[in-house]
Amino acid sequence: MAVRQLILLFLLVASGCRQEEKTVDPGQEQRFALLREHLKRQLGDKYEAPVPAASPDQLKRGGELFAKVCAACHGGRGEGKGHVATALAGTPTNLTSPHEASFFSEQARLYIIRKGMPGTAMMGWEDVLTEQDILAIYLYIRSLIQYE
Amino acid sequence: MQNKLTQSAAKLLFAVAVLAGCQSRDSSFKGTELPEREFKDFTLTDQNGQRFTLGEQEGKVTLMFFGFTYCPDVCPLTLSTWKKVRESLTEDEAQKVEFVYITVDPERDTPEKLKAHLAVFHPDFIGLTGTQEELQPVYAGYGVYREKDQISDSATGYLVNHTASIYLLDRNGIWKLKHSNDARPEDIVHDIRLLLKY
Repeated sequence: MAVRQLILLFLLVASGCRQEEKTVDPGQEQRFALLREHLKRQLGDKYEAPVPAASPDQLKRGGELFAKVCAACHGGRGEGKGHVATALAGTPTNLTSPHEASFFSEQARLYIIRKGMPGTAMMGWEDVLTEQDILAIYLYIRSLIQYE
Repeated sequence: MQNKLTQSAAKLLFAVAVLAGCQSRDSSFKGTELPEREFKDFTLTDQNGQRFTLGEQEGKVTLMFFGFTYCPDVCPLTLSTWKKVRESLTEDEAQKVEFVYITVDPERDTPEKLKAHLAVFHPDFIGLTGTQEELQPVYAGYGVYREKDQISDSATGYLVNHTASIYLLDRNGIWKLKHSNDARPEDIVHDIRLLLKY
């Protein structure tokens, strides 16, 4: 009896994990994979370089800028469901998802904020924001990831 | 007997009035009607680097919006609404409609930048930019408010607060209607179809 319950529990947990993986559609996964290869070529050795820990001031600044330039699409908590998101053809990235975050390295995610994501409504912000501001946004976004 | 006839006539009149009312509502615009006036002609540069003159678009219904590519909220929302509007029109109707997006940020919105941005939404959308001298009379003509909101230390570190209405011009270039940027696509389609009948 106990074994049967254990198997049932395992199956439930496993199906829950699969459910999480399904939040990214296959088309998006394919586009992400292509973009990841492009970013690896662009960044070369820097692709895997880590990004240092955030200071409280950076998180505060990042949060302020996130509310101004990101939240309409990505949602106030980064869940990808801002008020503009429902109208967009593509789904904005769910910034709270560890699965979606795991597609790219930290430097790659910084690069996307700088240069944008081609073929989507995601603009590159390097002409508007300073490098420090882009880093602050990234650090804030990183703090939104909800690891189990 | 007389009383019954009067009552029947009253009911009939009431039914006719209701039907007439429905008819009238059905043919009325969903957007806000503007005092009719012809819009002053202008020539700007489109996203392909070609000159675009409004006066040469006679015979088409024109949707017009003032926005900028770095706009993080109302502009992508409007362009998404336009995309739904465009996709709701038949190809025959679409031939007689133009979607014109005029930048309020000519310093950063080059034709190339407009082209890349608008292509995300629909290839038929026309993006216009120009010099300050060319754009200023256009902003003034539509009463467009625009003000920079500095958000970062760099020289180009700003957003632009701006008028965010969608304007509709009829096929004779008369400024007819205004919709809010969060208007329902079906309401805009309804008004386009009415304007196409003029």
